Formats: sequence, C-alpha cells, structure tokens
Amino acid sequence: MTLPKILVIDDEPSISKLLKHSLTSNGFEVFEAATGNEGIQRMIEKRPDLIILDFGLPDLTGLEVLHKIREWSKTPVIFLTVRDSDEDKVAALDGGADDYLTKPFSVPELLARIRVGLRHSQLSEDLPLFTAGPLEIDRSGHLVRINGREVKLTSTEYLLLAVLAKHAGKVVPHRTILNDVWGPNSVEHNHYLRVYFGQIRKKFDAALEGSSELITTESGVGYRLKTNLSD
Amino acid sequence: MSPSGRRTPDELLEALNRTSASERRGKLRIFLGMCPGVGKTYAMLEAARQQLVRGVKVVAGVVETHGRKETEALLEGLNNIPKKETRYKDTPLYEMDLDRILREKPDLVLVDELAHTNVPESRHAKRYQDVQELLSAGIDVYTTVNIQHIESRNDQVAQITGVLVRETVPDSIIDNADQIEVVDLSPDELLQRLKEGKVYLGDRAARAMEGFFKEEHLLALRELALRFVAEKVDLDLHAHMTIKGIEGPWNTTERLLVAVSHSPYSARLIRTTRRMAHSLEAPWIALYVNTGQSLSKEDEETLQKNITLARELAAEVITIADNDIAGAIRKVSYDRNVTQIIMGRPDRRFFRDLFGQGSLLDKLVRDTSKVDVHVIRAERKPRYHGFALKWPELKSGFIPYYNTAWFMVAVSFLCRGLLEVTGYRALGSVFLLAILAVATLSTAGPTLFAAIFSAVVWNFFFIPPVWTFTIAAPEDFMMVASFFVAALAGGLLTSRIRRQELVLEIRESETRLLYELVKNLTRARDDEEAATILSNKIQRQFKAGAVVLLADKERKLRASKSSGRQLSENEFAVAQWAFENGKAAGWSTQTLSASPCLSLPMKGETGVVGVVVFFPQPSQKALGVETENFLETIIAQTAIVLERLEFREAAEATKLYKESEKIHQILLNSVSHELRTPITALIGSASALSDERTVNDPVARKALTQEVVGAARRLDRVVENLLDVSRLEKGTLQLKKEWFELGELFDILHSELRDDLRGRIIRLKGETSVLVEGDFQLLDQALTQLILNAVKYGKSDGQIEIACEVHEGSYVRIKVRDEGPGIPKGLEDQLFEKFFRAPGTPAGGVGLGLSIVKNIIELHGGNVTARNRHDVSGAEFEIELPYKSAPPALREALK
Repeated sequence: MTLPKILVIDDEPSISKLLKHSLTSNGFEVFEAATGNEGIQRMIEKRPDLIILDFGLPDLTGLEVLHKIREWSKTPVIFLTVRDSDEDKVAALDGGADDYLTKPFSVPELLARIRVGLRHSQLSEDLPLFTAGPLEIDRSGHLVRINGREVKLTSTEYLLLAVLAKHAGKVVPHRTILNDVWGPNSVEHNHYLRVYFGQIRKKFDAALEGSSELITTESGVGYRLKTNLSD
Repeated sequence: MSPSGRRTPDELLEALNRTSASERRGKLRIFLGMCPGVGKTYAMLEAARQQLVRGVKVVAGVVETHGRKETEALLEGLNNIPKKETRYKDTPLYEMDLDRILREKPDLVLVDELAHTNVPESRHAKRYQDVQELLSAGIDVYTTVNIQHIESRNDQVAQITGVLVRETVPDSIIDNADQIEVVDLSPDELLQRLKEGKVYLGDRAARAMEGFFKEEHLLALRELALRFVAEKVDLDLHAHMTIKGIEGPWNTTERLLVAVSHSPYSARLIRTTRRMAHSLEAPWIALYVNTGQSLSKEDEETLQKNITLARELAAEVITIADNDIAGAIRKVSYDRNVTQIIMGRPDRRFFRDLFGQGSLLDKLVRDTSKVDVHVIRAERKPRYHGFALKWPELKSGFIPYYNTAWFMVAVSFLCRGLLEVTGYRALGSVFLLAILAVATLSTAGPTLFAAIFSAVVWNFFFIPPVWTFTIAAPEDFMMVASFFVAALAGGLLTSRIRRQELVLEIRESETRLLYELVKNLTRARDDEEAATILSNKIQRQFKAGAVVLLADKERKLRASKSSGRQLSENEFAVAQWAFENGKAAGWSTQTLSASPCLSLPMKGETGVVGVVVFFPQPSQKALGVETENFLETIIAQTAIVLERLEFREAAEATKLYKESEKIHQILLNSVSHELRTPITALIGSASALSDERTVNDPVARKALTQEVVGAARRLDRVVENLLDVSRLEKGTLQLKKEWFELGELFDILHSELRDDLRGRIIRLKGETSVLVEGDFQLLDQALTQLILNAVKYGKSDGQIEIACEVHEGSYVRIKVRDEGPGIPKGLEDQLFEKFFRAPGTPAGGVGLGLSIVKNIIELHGGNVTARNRHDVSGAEFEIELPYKSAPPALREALK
C-alpha cells in the first residue's frame, strides 16, 4: 500500500524539518519545496494527495500559488498562516484552500486537519445519517441526537449545524454559513453567529452533562465541527 | 557695539559670515585704475594666465582688447566665450553670454569693465549684476573698473575733472571683493602713452576725455584711487581682527544719520555721509520723513533714486510718517542712538527765521543737544528768499479750482439776493463762511482762490462805490483787509491740518494693516495658511494680484494650493531666479525688467523660504516708496512666521523621536527579561532531553516535554502581547464586533487558562446569560490579563471571583476579585499606565498588561477601574461597558 503523499511548500528550514519528521513518522510520504514556483513544479512531478502551503513565501504570495494550484487541480490544500491575518485566511478559503493552521501550531492539530483533508469527500451530504463522536444528525427527519438523546434545536440552529456537518472537520467561513442558511444578502447575521452557535453549544453541553467542545470558533474566519478523528 | 569696545556677538557673526560666505561664493578680484589707459585689462590677463598655468579652468567672458596686439596676445589659450547676439529694434547687439558661462561652470571668468550697462533685453541691467550672479554660482571673477565708476567717489571725480561719469558701480560690490589692486601708473607715463596713441578712449569720448587727462587731474585721481584701496585694506584688517578676536582701536559708538528727500541735493549728502561713516567705520541711517506732502512725478522719482542710492551704499533706510521733520529726526536719533546728523545748508527765509521756529537746522540744533550736526558745504550759495513766503502746495489739479469757482459764483448770487436784507457789510460773513466751507472740503490752493475771489467780488460788486475797486469808507477798507487776512489764515491752517490728517491716516492704516496681518499670521497652523493670508492681504491692500510660492524640503518652488492664478513658465522662471539669488527681480527692478510681474524673495533668518510674485496694475510704472516699504515688511513678517512653523514641526518631530527612543529603550530592557525566562526553561528542558538517560526515562521525558511546550506557549504569549501593544498604540486597531453571551466568554477563558490556573478555582457570580456586543478576542485578552494578575498577585490559596452585574439601559459590569495584599494606596490610577510596575511586585512582566486592558476597554466605549475590596483584603478590577440591547433580528432568531 502506498503511503499518502504530502507536499510541503515552506521556505523556513526549521518548520520544513519539523513537518517532514512528524509527518513521516505518522505514515506519510513527504516532499518539500522552498519556493512557490518550486512547489508548483514539485506538484506536477509528484502528484501529491495533499499540499501544505506556507503563506510567507519569497517569490509568490500564498494566494498566487493557491490560484495556480487550483487552475488545474483539486488537491486539498492546507495553508499555514500567522495570527491576526483574518482577511488573508478568508481570502485563502475563498480562493480554494480547504483549511488552515495558525502558527505556532501543534502537530496533533496538524495531523487532525490532514486526515480531514484527505478524506475523500464522503459526500456527507448524501448520507442520511451523519455521525461525529457523540453527535448524530438524522438528515431525513431533521433530528439531532447526542449520545442517543434527542436535542431540540430551532430550525436556524439545525441549518447552522447542517452546514458545519457538510464540511465536517474543515473550517467553514462565515460567508458560506450565511449563504447557506440565510441567503446571499444577509450580512447582519454575521454578528450574531457566535450567539447562535453558543446556544447550540449550551444545548450540547446540557445533553452531554459536560463540556462538548464539538464546535470550535475560528475567530474572525468561521466555525468548525470537530470529527472524532481529532483530539 | 558695546561701550566696552568689544565685538558684540552680532558683529562676530557678521565677520564670520563674510568669511564663510566667501567660501561658498566665487571670489572677486578687482583691478582698479585711476582712469582709462593705465593697463588694467593687461594686468587682469596676466594674472589670469598665471592661474591658467596652475591648471585653473579660465574663460574670458568679455575682454576689451581695443585692437591692441599686446593685449590680444595674452588672450591666446584662454577660452573666449563669444558674445551673445540680441536684437533690439532690428539692430544686432552683442553682450556677454551669461547663461553660457554659467553652463560651462569654469573656475574663473574674466569680465572687463565692471561698470558697463547691458543692452536692453538682457537679464540684468548692469554688468556688475551679471558678475554677482556668477559669484553666487561659485565662479571666481576677475574684473576691471575705474575709480570714477565707484558710486561713493563719483561726485569727487566730477569735482576734480569736471566730467561727470554716469555709469557707476555700487560700493557694496567693491566692499565685498576679496582682492582689490590698483593698477598704478605715474601721470607722466600715462601722458606719454597717450601721446603715443596707446590709450583707447572711444570715439565719442575723445574730446570729453581731454578734460580728464590734465596732469593735476591725474595726480588727484591717483591719490583718490590709492586712498580708496587703503581704506578697503583697513576694513579688511578690521574684519580679520574681529575674527581673530584681536582687540583694536574700535571706533564705534558712532552712528550717523542723513535725511533723504526728493531734492537732487540729497544725493550728494548721502554720498558724503557714506564717506564719513566709512571712515569712522560707523553705521549710518538714511531717513525719509513722509510729511504727507504730495509729490510731483519727477520728485517722486528723484526720491526713489535717492533712497535706492542710500540702500546701495549700505545705509539702513528708515521711513517714518510725520509732519514735523525736525521732530522725526529727533525721535529717530534718540531711538537709535544717533551721534551725528548730516544736513545741507538751508535757505534763509525771513519770516520763518524771525517768527517761526527757524529752519530745519535751527530746530535740530536747538532740540538735539546730544547730537553733532554737520552742515555740508553747498554746491551753490544758499538762496536768500527775503520776504518771500513759502507758498503752500498750490498744485491741486484743475478740478477743485473749477468747482470752487462755480461755488463762489453761486455764493455771489446769494449775496446779491441778501443785499437788501442785510446790507453790504454783513455779506462779508457770508463770504467768510463760504471760504471756510471751501477750506474744509478742499486744499490750500482753492481756499486761497476762494478768498481772493470773494475779496474781489465783494469789493467790486458790493462795497461802495460799487463797480469799482476803490473802497470809500476807511472802516470798509479795514473790514476787507481783515477779512482777507482771516481767509488766508484759514486756508493755510486748513492745508496744514489736511496734511497732518493725511500723515496720521497713513500711519494708522499702516499700523492697522500690519497688526491685522501679524494677528492672522500667528494663528496660521501651517505654511499654506500663512501663504494664503499673505496673498489675500496683498491683494486687498494693493488691489493687485499676488501669488505666493513656497519652497519645499528639496528647495524647489511650488505654488501654494490656494493661489488662484497659474504662473506662466516665464513668470515662474523670474520667480526661480529671485529665489535662487535672494534678490528682487522682474518689473521695476534691474533684473529681467521686461517681465510683467515682480518677484520678491521671502527672506527669513535662515535663508529664502519662498517668493511672492506681485502683479501690478497695468498703468503702474513703479512701486512708491511707501508701498515698497510696506511690502517688504509684510513679506519679512510672513517669512519669519513660515520659518517658525517649520521649526515647530521639526521640534515636534524631534520630541516624538526622543519619546519613542525612550519607549524603545524601556521596551528592550523589559522585553529581553520577559523573553529570557521561558527561553531558559526551553533550552534547559530541551537540552536535558538530549541526554540519553533522561530521554529514556518516561516520567522525566513527559515532564520535560510538557515543560518545553509550556515555556514555548508563554514565549508566544509575550510576543503576542508586544504585538498587541504596538497595534493598539498605532490606533489602527479596529474592533471586530459581534454579539455573544458573556457566559461563553467565561467558558472559553476557563478552558484556555486551565494550565495557568494550576487548580485554582474561579467562582462565577451574576447574570452570565446577558448578551454583549464587542470584540470577542480582545475582551478575552483583557479578562485573561486580569485573571492572570489575580493569580499572580493574589494569595496562592485565595479565591478568585468574577461577578457580572447588568443594569438594563445603562451598563454591564464585570468585576474580577482576588484575595491578597491588594493595591498599594494611591496607585489605583497609575496602575494602568504603560510600563508601570507597583513597587515591591515580584520581578517579571513588562508592565504593559493593564495599559492594554485599559486600551481595549476604552475602545469599546467603556472604562476600567481598580480599587481595594471592602470585605476582605484584596483587589477588585471593574470593567464597565455601556449596555446595549440586543437587536430584534437576533432576539427573533433566538426564539
């Protein structure tokens, strides 16, 4: 069985090294590139299954590389970025990236995202039943269960959860959420998202009788439903 | 200079300026001759050749060889710049090509005949101005000039030889020359050369020059030339001694003053004063007293010429408005510590000397006892006017007389009507009233006319015997006579009052304008505003256009944004020249006079800061003295204000820079400490892990690895903190506002701070379900800081409490309480200052935490306060945020 191939495009040798070592010891085959152009070449040569792209490259901007990749490939891309660059993150996600990691990151986090990225979109949409840890979503009946117990969600809350479930494990940008739930012209709800998800979280916590930590807030970018492959 | 005789700082500076200015400027070397033919050009060429041998780049700008072969031979090898041809009324004229020389940038240029007048259409009217421009550009100049051309000696030469030379060079040029040498020839030798035909005189000058070349003349001229140079040497010595700080026989508590008027005689007085001042090495003042008298055009021009002359001869020109000339002189003398007044012999007038206060001289001598008064010998004998009276100005133009005539005719008819009622005697009062009316409304001339007219009419038509000029009754005669005297007196007095009024008006308006201008200027916040104020003032005052050009940091001129008018390329070029050379140019000056506009450089203390381009009315030919003065004053004022604004900007920038330097220093110090601690832990733990035994021990391995991660996270937090500070400081931070439940914030805090809390419990009280709008991350940060502080400074086993209070419609309060020593008294406010650490606090920490909290909360429109608790010992930090009720859409969706 061939190991999944990951291409790391990063100009920082220390980060490259770290990634190579930790990914290799976790069962991946790793290729490296230090510049955007090199990365694109390597991608053509090696046809990786996933690309980790650092945004601070010397020759091209992360977005430029992303666009080039996306010109003829659907390979999942996870990009590395710094804190407080929310606009960049949103732009990248809009530009075709699948997920991101903020530096400094921990390797377990990275691995979780990689696994999510590699999962060939098992069209979570098609399956009538969606599971992620204690969470169960019954799409046909619009029912949500935690550990078997039904949780009563408002229709808005259900829709919100459904969007996250559609992209389970990946970060869903605000815009996508708003588009799917309210339609393209509903900007104001952007400011209320945290409250809505807060309500959902409270209900999950009550059902679990503890802290659920199923839904993470990616501040300034979007929300993410954690799947049980993460820690 | 101070009474002790030592140099004042100003003088030292001036001397230094003279020396240092000459380093940047080109050096001027003058070859002075007593008359034409002594061999100046030859000497100049010889000196130039010496320089050429040394490798200096020499060009001949203009050298008049007059066909002499020996002179021409010397020109060989020197780059002779061909003359520039200009056309004037279809005639080709040739003049030195100034621009070409400037372009070629030689080290040295030869310019013959310094006093030469340039052809019209040249940039400058006179060649010496060309030389000045060359010197400003850093090019050395050798030039020749005769003693008769030197301004201050011009009249003496005329006296000696009987020939008046009109082309003159101002003394200031000669004074600032670096080297001056006399090309000397004994009169015998010169006459010999003349006989041999070796002296070029110029065709038309030949006969006139015959007067020049008499032996006694030549002797006198020679002496004049040698004396002149000796004086200059003396002056240089003085300057040299000043710099070296050598004490010398300074002479100088002297100051001279000469009154300038429109009399042509004034010029002579001015030159004499200059000579005296020069030999005394004293400063001198040329004073013009504006008595309100209106002057004819020629007089105005003569006055202007005299003032310009005084200025060129380096006098301090003062203009003052006053009716009383003697009084004005007295005032200025007193104010400026004048020690000697120079004046000419006055004419004698009988009545004035007997009954009046006497001539100007008498008045001065009487009133100013501390001042010497020098009376300069006259060119002609003083006129004795005998019984003649000084007529007041009678020239008022035709119209007032015309109107007065008609008025008086009307009055006469009125009298005819009144004759039956009042009798002929009373008519005198009617006429008198009429005359007084004229006096109030008009000047002396028409009043006098009215008086005469009335007398005649009254006599002829009304006083018996009527229709004759005889007066029968003696009392009638006395009546008419006294009437006439009264009328005259009335008229004369009125004209005097009118003049005084005028003078006062002038003074008042000047002062007022200046006051307004200065008031407005001091309120100007930037240079654009100042420029606008100035141009508006000029436009309003002179009803002429004005554009102000300001110099930017690269010393380039640009129009101020407010100027309405765009300058054409030519106009801009004139302004550029004025700016670079620091001199007025354009209309009514000697440089580029064909231009329709006048460019005046704005000179401040440090140099030229801009140019004012003045567009006179098309009918104007020249600026009057008053106008010139006024323009000069307001431009100088504005220049100073502009400089001040510049200085202020620079000072502020420096202040900011210093402050940021200080902050940098503090930051560096505390940051390096803050960073060092976790780094130590990192290196320590990581290096320990590289040890064989340790890495194989699972317990040690786990502990150390955790330590590494923990230290690294702390490091991360310090870095983030610093970045936050800079972002908050810059003020560019924008809140990412969203609505959330307070409870959620606390939940997140709880999980984030699990490690830092080390098992400590936080008690949550109050209504945590309230909805709040704000930047989640920033508020997270603020509360994190407060909680961490509570952990750090509170008792290690004490309880930490967070309480929420909601007052609907007004506020939301979050209080973080700890148990511990609390806050030192009086420091509750200071705690929030940047870099503040309460004395006695454990080391570690940059001191920025609370200031960040304050910034964040204030950005949200709230405030944060610290105090000690009442119930137990401990601190309480209270965040108050303005209450906002949740928007309906949100409340809808929550249902």
